[in-house]
Amino acid sequence: MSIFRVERQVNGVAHLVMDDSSRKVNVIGEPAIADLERAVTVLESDTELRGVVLMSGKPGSFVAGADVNGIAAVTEREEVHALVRRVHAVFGRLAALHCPTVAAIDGICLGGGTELALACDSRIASEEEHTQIGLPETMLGIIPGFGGTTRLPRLVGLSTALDLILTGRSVDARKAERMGLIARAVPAAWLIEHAHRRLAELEKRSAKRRRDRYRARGFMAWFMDVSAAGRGLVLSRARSMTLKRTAGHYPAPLAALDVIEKGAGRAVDQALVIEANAVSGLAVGPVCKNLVRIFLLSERAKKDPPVAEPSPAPAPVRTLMIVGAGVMGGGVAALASRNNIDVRLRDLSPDSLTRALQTVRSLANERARKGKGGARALDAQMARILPGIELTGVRRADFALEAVVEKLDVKRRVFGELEVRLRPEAVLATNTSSLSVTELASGLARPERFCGFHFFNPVHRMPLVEVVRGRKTSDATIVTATRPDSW
Amino acid sequence: MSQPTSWIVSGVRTPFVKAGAVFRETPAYELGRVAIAELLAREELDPARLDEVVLGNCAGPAEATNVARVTALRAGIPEPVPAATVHRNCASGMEAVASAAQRIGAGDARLVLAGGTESMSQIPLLYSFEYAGWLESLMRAKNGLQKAAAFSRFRPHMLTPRIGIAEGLTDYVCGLNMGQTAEVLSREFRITRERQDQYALMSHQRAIAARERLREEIVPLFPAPKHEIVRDDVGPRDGQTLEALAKLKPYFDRKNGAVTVGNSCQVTDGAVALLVADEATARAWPAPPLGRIRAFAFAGLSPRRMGLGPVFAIAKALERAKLSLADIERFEINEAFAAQVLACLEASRSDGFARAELSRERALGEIPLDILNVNGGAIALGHPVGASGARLLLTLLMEMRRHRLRLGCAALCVGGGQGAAFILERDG
Repeated sequence: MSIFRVERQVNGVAHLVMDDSSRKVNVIGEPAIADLERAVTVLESDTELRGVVLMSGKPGSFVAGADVNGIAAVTEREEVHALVRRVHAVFGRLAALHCPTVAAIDGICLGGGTELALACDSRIASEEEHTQIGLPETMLGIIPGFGGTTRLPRLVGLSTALDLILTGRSVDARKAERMGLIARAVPAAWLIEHAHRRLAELEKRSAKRRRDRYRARGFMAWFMDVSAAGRGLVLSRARSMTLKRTAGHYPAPLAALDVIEKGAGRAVDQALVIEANAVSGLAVGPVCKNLVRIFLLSERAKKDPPVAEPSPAPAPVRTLMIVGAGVMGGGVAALASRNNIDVRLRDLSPDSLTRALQTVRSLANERARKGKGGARALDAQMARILPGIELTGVRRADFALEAVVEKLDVKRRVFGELEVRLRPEAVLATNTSSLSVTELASGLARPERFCGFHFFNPVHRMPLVEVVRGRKTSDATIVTATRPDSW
Repeated sequence: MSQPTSWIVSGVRTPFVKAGAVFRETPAYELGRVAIAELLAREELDPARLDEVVLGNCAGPAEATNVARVTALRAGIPEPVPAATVHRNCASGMEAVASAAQRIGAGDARLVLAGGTESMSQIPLLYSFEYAGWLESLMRAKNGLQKAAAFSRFRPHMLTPRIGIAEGLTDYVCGLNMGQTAEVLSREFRITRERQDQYALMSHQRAIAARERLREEIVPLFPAPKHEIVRDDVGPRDGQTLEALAKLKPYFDRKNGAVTVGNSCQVTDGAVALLVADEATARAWPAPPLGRIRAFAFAGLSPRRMGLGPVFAIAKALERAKLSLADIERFEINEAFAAQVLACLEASRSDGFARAELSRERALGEIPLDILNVNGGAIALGHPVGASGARLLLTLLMEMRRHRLRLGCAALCVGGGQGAAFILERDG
């Protein structure tokens, strides 16, 4: 079965297209590696080739990473080591190809995908929001082991490489361009044209200088990334900060630091040997196994239908009514408005509304400070919330959440008021942490659209909602409440 | 000329707040967002049913040139619903309702959200053209020599800003600012400082007495940055005295004038949202509609006497409605200036004025003070220019509903020499 296609273009350029027809997204596992070996052989034999563009056949998605199920299954260190060395070999052949190579990234590009792109001479990426490039391996208890730990510092310099590898965060194309991770951020519509243009630029360079590589700009960059004293300082700072953050419980970031330090100054081939040894040990260790398990469980929670098949389609939630603007109500208002949901926030007490709005603003400000959206995003988020002391604007809500005091009679009164005003198909939910959902539902005219929807405090930090099914709650209600992409 | 019936089914407004106070950081499109969203909430209306949004606005925020569209989208009105901003100076809010009525009359719309929004706090200071030109020459300078030459052309006076709000309140054609046009009327109709101050005092007293009633048309706002609730208009002054008003210096003609900031309207921020519907939609409305538009008219006159605009417009609107002034049970005439309202009352009761200016045999009639601006006017409540026209319609309809009245008239004077008037009708 073919995962990589080689498509020869009229201008002497080949497109190396990754498109695993058996999956929704491309991942790097054993089958992909085996097929890449075959495809690279084809490219190697084509002596008239002027260049190669590595791209994905999946619209809006590049490569999601390594096959995490594979990591979960493997138990033998030797098995990991053999696969890693095999990947090193074939990525090395791609890197050593006789003609220039450019990765054209559009969509998610993580872990093994980034490492595959790093094997190319140069990279460009679409500036679309869905393009996110990163090396999240340390979050799964391993290090980038398909050449990433070795190749990244050579491309972006020591401090930027540490930033990306130790945090595991991903960046958009503009940021990646500033970091030197890609050569250019371009509109997705012109991605292939720009890839060809980039190949033409690389063609003009001599074969030895073809690969993009790190050049320190300015004294500070030179000091921290090139000079021995500065590098030592950066590494020891990173080590002590990592120890402080992980309290010694997570071996992966420290291993990454070791590999980078030992690999520096060596030839890529020798550095990869160090990288392979480190990742093989980590991948069969208990920390990695647990982190991978958590990851797979949360992925499954996103995908698995919460009710028996065939499950009804979830109703989109565009407008949320929240009754009660306390700590929980305000927190949910912040979360929902940040996710483009219009919020009608109602509380009898203007002071509660004031505090809730101040909370939303300060959370949004914090995000703005961290560079996630500027003043305009903050303004748009605030404008999605309509605070009020009267119970109006209920009919527009697709979902109504009660977050008032934990008293049965108070809550029942709120449900009664909401029920007569809500559209019949809207979901009615309670944020109760202690009262019985079935009991709360008694007395409702439509108990089937009622469920528990319990957030944890602080809402913006706890990515967890407990959806509680009452005895009469319908499947459709549960599906809408658990649908992850609308929240 | 017959105008097909349009209905004003419902409406709300924000509190009116003196410019530079708690709405200082709330732009026009945020004031408008809350008014619109609260109106939709109160009516439990699916905004997809709207055919258009038309808002009056005068200051035109630079970052939101079609402020109606920005406001509509921020208020959660779906993208396919179009939006237009209209500008007829102080009558912009009425112009919006007139546009809505005309769209409905033409069969282009069944339900239109009309109103007005204005942040006079956020009218910017402007750089002079001279300074802009100098900056441009500096940017074009390529080498050091050219840059030095450009610098040498700088003069400190270039930095003197143009004050947007002052220029906006000055008529370009006659060169008078609005206060000066009020001085013109106070002299023409011999309206003394004392009468003006007495009128201003009455406006405050009525507005204070109407607090509870006005809350029926006001929706609260939680303005940034503190997000503390604002429920009421801040303009009306409890305990306002004639003595305090008498102490103020004339503002527009310091030596011989009679118009003070105390007997003029306040510079204010606020927004109004109304739902205008065709007959069938109004009849099917779940709650009883506020009232219908019997007739409206806009009229032009000399920019120097712009304050008399209501008289001209009321005469025209009454003619269209085939009514006489005596049929009207409540009046709302915008209080740009006490002198200007009092001049309108004089002009309207004068046979001479009617013959000379209105081509009528007899005077328009008496507008009794006890049915005029009974809940206070702009001197106390404030005058957010783009919104006031819609506010008068809303306040009038609420008052007519309260007392089961059949006919009311709202009018305002318009900078630049115009008047606007609406005749509204209820089934009692």
